[in-house]
Amino acid sequence: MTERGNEPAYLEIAHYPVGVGTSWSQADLLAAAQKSVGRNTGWPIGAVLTREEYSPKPMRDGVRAVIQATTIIDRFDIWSLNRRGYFYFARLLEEDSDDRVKPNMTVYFDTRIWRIAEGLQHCAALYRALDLAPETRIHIEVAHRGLAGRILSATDQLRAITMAGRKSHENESRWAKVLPLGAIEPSLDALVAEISGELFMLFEFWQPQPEVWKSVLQAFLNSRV
Amino acid sequence: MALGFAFSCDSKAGGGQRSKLAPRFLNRDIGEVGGQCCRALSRWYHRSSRSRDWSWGKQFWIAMDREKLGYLTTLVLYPEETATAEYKSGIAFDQANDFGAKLIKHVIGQANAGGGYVVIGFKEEAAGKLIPDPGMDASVSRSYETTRLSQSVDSYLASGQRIQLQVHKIEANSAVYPVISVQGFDDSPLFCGRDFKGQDGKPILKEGSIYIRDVAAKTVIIAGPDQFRSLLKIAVSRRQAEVLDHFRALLSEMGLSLPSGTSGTPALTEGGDFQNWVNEQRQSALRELRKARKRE
Repeated sequence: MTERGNEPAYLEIAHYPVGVGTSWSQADLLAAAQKSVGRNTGWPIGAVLTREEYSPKPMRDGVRAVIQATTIIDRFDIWSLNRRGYFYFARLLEEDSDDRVKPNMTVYFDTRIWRIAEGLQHCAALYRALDLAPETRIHIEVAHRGLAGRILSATDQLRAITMAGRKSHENESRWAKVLPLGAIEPSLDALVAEISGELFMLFEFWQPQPEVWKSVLQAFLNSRV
Repeated sequence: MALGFAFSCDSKAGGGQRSKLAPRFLNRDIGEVGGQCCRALSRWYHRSSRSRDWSWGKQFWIAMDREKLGYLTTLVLYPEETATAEYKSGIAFDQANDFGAKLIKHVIGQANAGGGYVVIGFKEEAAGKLIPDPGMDASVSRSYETTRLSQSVDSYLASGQRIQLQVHKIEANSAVYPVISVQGFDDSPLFCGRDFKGQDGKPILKEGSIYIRDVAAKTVIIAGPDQFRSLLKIAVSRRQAEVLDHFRALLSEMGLSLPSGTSGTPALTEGGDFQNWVNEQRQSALRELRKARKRE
């Protein structure tokens, strides 16, 4: 599993609609969760699987899924959506199931850009599926935890060679903002730059060239499964 | 159950130039799934290498393709009809017969519902459970191919409209199951462009109709307010971002800007509730992780 000592390294995304008094039923939440699953990656954020142990379960205050997949790839995802529209997602860093590198040592900048972009898109899709108006304010938090001692690298090993082994001395990167639902996707590039910029800065002030992160983001946007 | 996996994908929708699974992935994962799939993957890998673009980020695509394989494999291993996943019998695709026409209808319905998957090679038992169709064989699997299927669907769409789909092949239990990944429509819903009558003389496809996969997981012609509302919602959401982009550009030209976000703190109580809830979820996630570690 993806751990450094006893401390797991994981991506955490949480959001909620501000000032919305609606209480959704578990069935509504499940339907919205299904509709909001993205199609850009093979293992989407907020995945709604049908295998019984991984499928979302109705809970007293919403729905919740725990996914520990070992078929072909190792993944540990957990997500919850409560009746007030609060969403929480955590995933152990995929980097640690890559057997090309030592486990628990790296953070791939390109994977992080994909996940941040996907998390924002999923957020917008979820609240649209819950019929919220574009002007609804959404509080979004994106955090990466368990970073201390990790080296910034890239999934593309050729690119990784050029990255000079920058290490994080901080354990956590956390970003939060409130913005209108309708502004999330049009602002995707700016938001991804901001969130990933704060994360990458922890790795010895690393700042990717705009054309580099934009090309990674564009690859995500063009990707379809 | 004994399983073997193979995975391939060809694309009409722009993804076809990406690199596919590479030898390292094959070497790593084949051990889990046996020699048969090793040969299948190897054959596929070498076949697909002709169109592979190795110029940038190949390793990245390896990781992403591995994810894709994992997700599509779950559709085959754990079949269940959902709003986005549909299962059809193991019958070869031929647009000239009833099955082919119905499949085209379902694909159009999926696209109008925002996209989804059609998995070939499963039939429903009396109790409604989906089981592998014993009629599924290599010739059936081969009959599903991205370009051919896309062209067949396009030929039943209104003039100028095109479907975006990919056919993936997933191997399990010694059969290769085509999984059709259908993308949602881009700017306007897809209309059926011509009729097709079944052998019994009843229409399967009707010119001018808009098909949609509804909440009951059936493909129907849009006929009522509920279905129309679903379609409208998808169309609006697809145009929303585009409209906002235009609006933002217009405002920018005028020296103004849309609120692209504020650092304002939400109402204290609500924000506090949310933070408490997030903390609870985090603790719960860490407990689940510890349980998972113990199971390992």
